[in-house]
Amino acid sequence: MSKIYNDSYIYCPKLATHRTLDGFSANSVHHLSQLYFCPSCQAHKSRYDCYHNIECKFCSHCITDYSHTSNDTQRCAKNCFVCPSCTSSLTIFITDHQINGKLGKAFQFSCVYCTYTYQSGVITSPKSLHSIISSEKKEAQHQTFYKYQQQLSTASDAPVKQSETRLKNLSLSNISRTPDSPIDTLGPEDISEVRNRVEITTHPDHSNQYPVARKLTVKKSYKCLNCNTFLLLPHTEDGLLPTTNKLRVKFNAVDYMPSIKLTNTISPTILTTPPTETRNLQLECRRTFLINLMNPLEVDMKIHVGSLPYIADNFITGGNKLKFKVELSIPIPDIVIKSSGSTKNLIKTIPTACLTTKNTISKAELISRMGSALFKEKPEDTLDVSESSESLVAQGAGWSLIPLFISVQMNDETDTWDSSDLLDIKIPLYITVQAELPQAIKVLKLSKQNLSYGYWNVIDIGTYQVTK
Amino acid sequence: MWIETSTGNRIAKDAAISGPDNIVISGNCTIHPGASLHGDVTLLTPSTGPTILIGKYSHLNSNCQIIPPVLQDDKHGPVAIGAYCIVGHDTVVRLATIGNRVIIEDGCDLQNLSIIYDCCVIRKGTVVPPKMVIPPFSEVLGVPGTDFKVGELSNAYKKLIETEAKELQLQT
Ligand SMILES: [Zn+2]
Ligand SMILES: [Zn+2]
Ligand SMILES: [Zn+2]
Ligand SMILES: [Zn+2]
Repeated sequence: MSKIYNDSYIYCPKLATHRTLDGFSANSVHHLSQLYFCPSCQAHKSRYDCYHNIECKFCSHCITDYSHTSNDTQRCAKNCFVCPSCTSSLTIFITDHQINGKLGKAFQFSCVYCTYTYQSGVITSPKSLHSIISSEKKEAQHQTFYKYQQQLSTASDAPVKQSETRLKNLSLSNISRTPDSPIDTLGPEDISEVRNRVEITTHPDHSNQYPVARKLTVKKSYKCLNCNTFLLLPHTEDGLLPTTNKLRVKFNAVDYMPSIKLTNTISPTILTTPPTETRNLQLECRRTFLINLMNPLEVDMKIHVGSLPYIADNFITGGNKLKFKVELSIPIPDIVIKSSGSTKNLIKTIPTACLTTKNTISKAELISRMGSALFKEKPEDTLDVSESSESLVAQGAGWSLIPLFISVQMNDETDTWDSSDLLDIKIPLYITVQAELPQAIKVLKLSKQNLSYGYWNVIDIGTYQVTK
Repeated sequence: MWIETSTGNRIAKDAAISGPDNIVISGNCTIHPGASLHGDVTLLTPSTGPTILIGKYSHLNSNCQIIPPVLQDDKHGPVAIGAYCIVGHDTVVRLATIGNRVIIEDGCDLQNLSIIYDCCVIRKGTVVPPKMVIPPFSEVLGVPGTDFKVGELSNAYKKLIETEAKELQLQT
């Protein structure tokens, strides 16, 4: 069961105390894999619910560690330049030149990806590439000013009269300053450089663009906004290569909260033909889905899966959604998911609904779990879904399956059904979890003696056609 | 349609593997139909090591291509793909190194001599330009010059990608 690619989302309320759902939007839900779990608040936290701090910064190209530089240092100070138009690396070639009997060098930057090139002037005294580029940038500014000055002095002596209102309307809004190019003055050395400059080539397409120093990569720590507990803290000792990723603290939600996925019921036909997902919901006909729950803890998890009796309006989209009412029921809402604990065999930890017949190991496991049920004449569902039965639940190492019944009703009986009725359905489930404290939380010696939390998990089941 | 080796590798019968003597595939890998591995290139510096090295539990999807990077003219360098890596359908790999636990989605173009560190996800259709270094725990998407972006990937993916690769092996 993929925990990376799935349609299960965790709702993140704006306020920690806010437990009602406002609806489904990209800002309000996150994948479980994107979230932290605060051991003190016992709640999931998105990056927006955290403070972050830069613990380490480095250049990914030359692996220079810049962690101890000031906050303003955001770019590599070595010869790591990127293309101003596509951010790919620039390669640098050096050519030798002679100017007024003096030997000099020029630097040619070329982008490894696009057509960008930049040719520096001839440099006769040793200078870093950064200062060469910044002085050429300044020089270009000075030349522009010089050009304006020339134009001004040759222009007519009589200034054009501007009306007073027009002057008042001149706005300053077009004045901008790029933070990476502070305007500073030319030193005498720069001026001699300008004079020595020979035009080697021009680069008409990128004439205003200079090579850019590479941006640094940062490693951040995250702290809960509510209680200040570290949720992620990288190791940053001196001497540790910045590209190593050792963590001092990590509280990822995937390690503390169950993974939840909805699948169709297991049908015996999967042993002969590949399962074709029916994207239909028949009016007034109960359809069974399976909720697959997986426990990541080393201890058992007591879970309650709750839902409203029908799906609220804002979780259904589609032209005629108001015509329908989508009812939900969970016949067995309370289950205990055993820990997968010491189970080394991965196949045992995969819920039955996620096994396939394409692979011999998976197929053998499927047959052993389903037993003779698979070979019965034509059972409706291989899982017994009679409401009284205990066998409603299928369980294995670290996982459980429970059924979820969905049925679509007409809101108003006088309304008419038509074949173009498509519904995009998201199912909100309120999950409550109770467990003993896992070791990683126990050692923090917090006040809570147990793990106990609740949250909304929204499952996007996609588009279904309503049929009669 | 699969050839199964004693180390648990499953290689599709119609995967195009040239220069097999120069290719090392660690255990439990899956190589899908139409995948091509160009192990028959000339190395710039002859070595006793493999030209193409693929770590354990890696998964090469259909029609992906693994081509050792060009160092000089028609001379190549070796390519190493780490353990628990998933290479998507139609993706072309010309880079030098992919770390452990990396997902490269479908239709990506990883150009000459790039390096991808551990625990990265390269999203569908991404172009990684030549000589690019992708730091660990990055999510990469887009095409340079238009929408190329390198973002932060949650460290939860270290475990998730490993499980994904192992489960994929059991589901194929
Ligand atoms: Zn959130
Ligand atoms: Zn907290
Ligand atoms: Zn650098
Ligand atoms: Zn470029």
